[in-house]
Amino acid sequence: MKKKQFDVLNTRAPRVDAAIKATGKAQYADDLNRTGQLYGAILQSPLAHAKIISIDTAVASRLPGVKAIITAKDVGLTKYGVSPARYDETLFAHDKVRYVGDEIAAVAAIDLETAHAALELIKVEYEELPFVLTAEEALNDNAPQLHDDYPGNISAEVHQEFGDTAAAFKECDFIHTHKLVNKRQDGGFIEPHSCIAEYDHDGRLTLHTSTQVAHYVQRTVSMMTGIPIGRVRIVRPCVGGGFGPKCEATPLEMSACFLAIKTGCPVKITYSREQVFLHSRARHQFYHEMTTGFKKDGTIMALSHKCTLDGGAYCSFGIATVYYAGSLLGAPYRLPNMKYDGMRVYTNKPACGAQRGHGGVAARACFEQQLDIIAEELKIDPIELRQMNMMETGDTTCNALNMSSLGMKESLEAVQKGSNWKKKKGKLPAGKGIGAACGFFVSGAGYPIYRSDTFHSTAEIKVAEDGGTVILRSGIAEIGQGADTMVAMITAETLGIPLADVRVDSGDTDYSVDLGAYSSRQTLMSGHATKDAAENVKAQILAVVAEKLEVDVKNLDIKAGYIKIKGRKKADIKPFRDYYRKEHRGWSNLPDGDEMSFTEAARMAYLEKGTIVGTGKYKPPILGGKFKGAAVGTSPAYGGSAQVVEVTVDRDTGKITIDAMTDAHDCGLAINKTMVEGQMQGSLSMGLGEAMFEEVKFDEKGQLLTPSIGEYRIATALDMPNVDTIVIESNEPNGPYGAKEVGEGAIMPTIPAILNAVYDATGVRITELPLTPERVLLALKEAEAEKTA
Amino acid sequence: MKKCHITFQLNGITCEVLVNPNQTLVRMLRDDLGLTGTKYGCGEGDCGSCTVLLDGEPVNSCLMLAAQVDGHQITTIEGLADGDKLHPLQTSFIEKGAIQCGFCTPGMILSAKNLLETQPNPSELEVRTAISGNLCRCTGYQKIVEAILATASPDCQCSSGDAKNCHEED
Amino acid sequence: MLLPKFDYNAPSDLEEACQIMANYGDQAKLLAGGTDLLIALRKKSVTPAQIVALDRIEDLEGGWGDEEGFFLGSRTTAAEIAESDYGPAGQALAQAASQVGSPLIRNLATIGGNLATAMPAADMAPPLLALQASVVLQKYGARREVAISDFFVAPGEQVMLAEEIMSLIFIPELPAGSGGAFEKLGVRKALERSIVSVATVISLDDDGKTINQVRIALGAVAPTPMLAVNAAAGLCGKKATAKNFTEAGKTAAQEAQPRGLRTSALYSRLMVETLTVRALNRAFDAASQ
Repeated sequence: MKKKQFDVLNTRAPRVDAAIKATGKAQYADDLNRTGQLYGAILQSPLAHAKIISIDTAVASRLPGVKAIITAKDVGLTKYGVSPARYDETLFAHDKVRYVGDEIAAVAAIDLETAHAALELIKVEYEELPFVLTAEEALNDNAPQLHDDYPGNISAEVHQEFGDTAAAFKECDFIHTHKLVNKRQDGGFIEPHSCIAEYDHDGRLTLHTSTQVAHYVQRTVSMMTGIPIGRVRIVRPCVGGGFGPKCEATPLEMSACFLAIKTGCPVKITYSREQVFLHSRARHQFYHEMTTGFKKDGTIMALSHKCTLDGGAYCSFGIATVYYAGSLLGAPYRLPNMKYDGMRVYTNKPACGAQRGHGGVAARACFEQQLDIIAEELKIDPIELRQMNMMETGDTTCNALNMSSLGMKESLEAVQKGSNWKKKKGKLPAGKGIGAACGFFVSGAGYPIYRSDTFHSTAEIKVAEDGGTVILRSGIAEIGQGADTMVAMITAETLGIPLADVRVDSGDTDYSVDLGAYSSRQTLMSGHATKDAAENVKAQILAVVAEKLEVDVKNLDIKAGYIKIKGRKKADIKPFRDYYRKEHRGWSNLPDGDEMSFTEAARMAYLEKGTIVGTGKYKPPILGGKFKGAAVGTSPAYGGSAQVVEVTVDRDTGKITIDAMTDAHDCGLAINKTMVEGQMQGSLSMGLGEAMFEEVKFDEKGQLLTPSIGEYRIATALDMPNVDTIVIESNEPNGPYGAKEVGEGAIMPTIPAILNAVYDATGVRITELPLTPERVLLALKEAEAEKTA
Repeated sequence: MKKCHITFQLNGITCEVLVNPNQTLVRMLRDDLGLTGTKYGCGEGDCGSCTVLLDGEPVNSCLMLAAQVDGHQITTIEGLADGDKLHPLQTSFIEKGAIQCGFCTPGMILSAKNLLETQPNPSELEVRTAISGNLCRCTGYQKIVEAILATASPDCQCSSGDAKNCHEED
Repeated sequence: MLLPKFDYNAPSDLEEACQIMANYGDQAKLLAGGTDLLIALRKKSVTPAQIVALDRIEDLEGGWGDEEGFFLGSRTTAAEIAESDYGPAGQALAQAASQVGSPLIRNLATIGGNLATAMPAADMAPPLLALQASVVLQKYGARREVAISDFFVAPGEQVMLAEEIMSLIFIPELPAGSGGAFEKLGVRKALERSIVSVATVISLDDDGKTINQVRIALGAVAPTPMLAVNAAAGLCGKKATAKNFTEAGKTAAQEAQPRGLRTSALYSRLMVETLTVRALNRAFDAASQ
């Protein structure tokens, strides 16, 4: 298929926010200060599970400089959370605390020292309760219970079957069972959550906050405070990374809001790094067991999959996570029969939520190892086995996910070639190994988090009165992934103007509705809404031009900033040019040349119609199956990734070095190639970290053992190899200009590719993450001992 | 607590401050002097987002007391551009796509600046070592390394992923 | 994220510093590089009324040698040490310094601070043990020298009196034909605390094969950095062979006293064995040059 030619899209244009970030001018939430602001601090539980007997704030509130203290008594017991079906949190604990870090009270004071001093003066009397720290303990018959509404500590349960797995297993020549357990992760973003809330005497609440989801924060704050949506404004400044854990309204944000309302002063609160870990809402710990049946020709027939998730004390995103852990195995391989039993369990630890590759990362790590085990059993090259079973564009999975475009075969071919696989597989020296894996991910969830027919994204484009600049106002969440640049490029391309003439104001709930940056939805969904708005603006301007120049609007177009008239070489634009010049006497950079510029046309339209504003909107069509849970995993489009990783294993220490990573990702049209590669490279390093180093640990009392990013290890520049990223561009019919996901799919293959490479190097399958030197060495020793025995 | 009267060069300008003895350098820069380009990510020297140059050498400003900079020179990210002319590293970071969320960027650029001043032609390993105290969660470091190498050798035509071919280890 | 309240003192010479410390005693904490102290202050695990910063005292900086050996100011940074040439044996120290934390930390962290903090995993302690270094401790009106092997007491504890300041580290001259090496195992390649570290220093006889003297020092496998005395004794007078090195590794592993805190004791011992052999091989190569 011949690719369409673009002027702005599909280039390597620098990000629109790069210069402010390179110069230190970019403002993040903690960089904001307001005259007369107070500093907030939050009192958190020191115990994993305890009844609250009493909370006494009297002494603390008398401390000079303390302006307000709030507890559950002040803010009420409205339940909130992520999914309305699973609202299980109150802002402050009132009857009991459920983990070390559960919020009890918040203080606003004239400075941070006073706020902290006040926290120490709040007296809380507890009665300690027995607690559970593992999913296994939590499921015991006599286990202490976290929530009355969720007996047995079961936060969510899923039982799904597609096709007939029992019948399919009977037809299989081989059946193999494999287990994997990962560890609780942290987002590892470098900017801790921070926010500043302001409340004025007209009853308007403004919250600047480091969030991925201003829209959901707005709804939650409105619900909790009772202030109507129209008077709650959420503004997202620059965000120092999110990766999932900044995907929900936080106690930090709501505390700041309530304190601002109570004091009438701006209130700023920033999490310490330790509090980031205590708030958590990052990747769950998953216990996977997968049984895969296949035929001797390599055809995969059936998967039976059990998974338990250690969820922590509250649900957060967990209901979606437990569904994703199953549903995302439906592709990219043809899998006609799939049974899934998933269970998310409450434990007395910080709540887990969403993180890059939501729910699917550990599942993928387990399943892709299965494929290698099968390939070895059948003596088929692992990449060949994958290709044999790979879906193609137009295929639909057994759980009703429609692969409207799928460049997986091409991606796998690209990494096979790019990594020199054929020369290396089975031919590497001792201690070195090579492994492959694939993965895919949604381009936005098919449904919002709350049940609604809401648009998933709306956008507003306004043209400056002089016609020279186009201003896009959108609620999209620029969190580092490049959303602002993406919508700027789509605006410029759609309007036919240079990128430099587009300005983006984003992340403000006053501008538009946008569900935010999660489930890799911004390019497809917000891209569509932006395109729609730009088309609207273009139509408005061209309608005026058609009238003035007396040409059929069908013959008009805009390209590279100029009005193009089909079928006619020249139009008489002189009167319009003269008029524009007259209006701008003394100005420089006035339009010239033979053609009418966009600027002149837009000015003409303004003079005729007033300010030109175009709006756009998008919501996905009704998607997916009708079964319970069908909403999780359905998406208008799916991106896919294939990866090859090479490792060296030091057999004497167990230390693994990642030597090379080759990743190919099908993102549909790459709106911006540099940014697509950036997403792939970032995914690789997060996947590498999760595979090799990352683990949030607790002691036997539920106290965090890894409260710093020194203890919680993310990859340094020295741990990352020089990686090769190959962009595969299919044409996604449901995406704007054929574009789809890249932010999360690329992390899917990383962990299993590393695990498969380690197996290739050592002959040992390691079923627990992370691959610390100790774990690897002891596994090698155990395997040796078994061999000799 | 007796306040400390300190005098130091901040981005080339003499700066006199009366500071609390328990104020860290990062807090003084951000809260007292309004230079928020220096970021606060962890407070324990684990992330490098508060990197500043102390007499030209990169250090974690969260691990220094403000009082310690008396008589020294401090350079923050705000001191890099010359008027409206960006430092070559800033230009390179912008052009090579080395910036995503941008929170690590000021620290990365300052660590890189020191590297290129002491080693104008660094190998890829030297670049990775120089920024190994500056964590980045967004980029996987690839384009950061490429941007630094490209600043060192502006004529090098390496595009994404090709740094390996251009800059073999010594 | 805030530090407790204290007063700040920045004496300009050692005598003034000793006077201040004599005044305040355990009310005061010395600030060298600050990379450990500021974290401890932040966590409020120490809350001194006085901070005494050493960074204006020029006598504590730099290094110089004489016929007896080499002196290093206690405020010499890890970065400076990493870039110095201390010869084939002293390179064990430079190698250790080059693996402290990160470049940012190394520009602040000092050798004196690394020792005084007395962490079991302190990177620069094993090479100094293997090099038979000693430290000079000064207080108002008195000065004493303590061998590194007598310096550490327990995790976070050493022999320094509250009013004492470490001024110098002395590394005695080694005979020709000596070589040293440092091995560190961490999870990541930077910003890493040792799982196990080993430093060895070997002095060879004139034949270039027989081990005249050897010291093997272990980090992170006991309450304090320690010498594997038996392992070293077993090698003395023997040939530098793979078999003998392996034997020394096994003995060192037995001597280690890992507490099983961050990794299992079993793994720590296995790593002592592996890293000892590696460090001995590299020290031998250095000595043979």
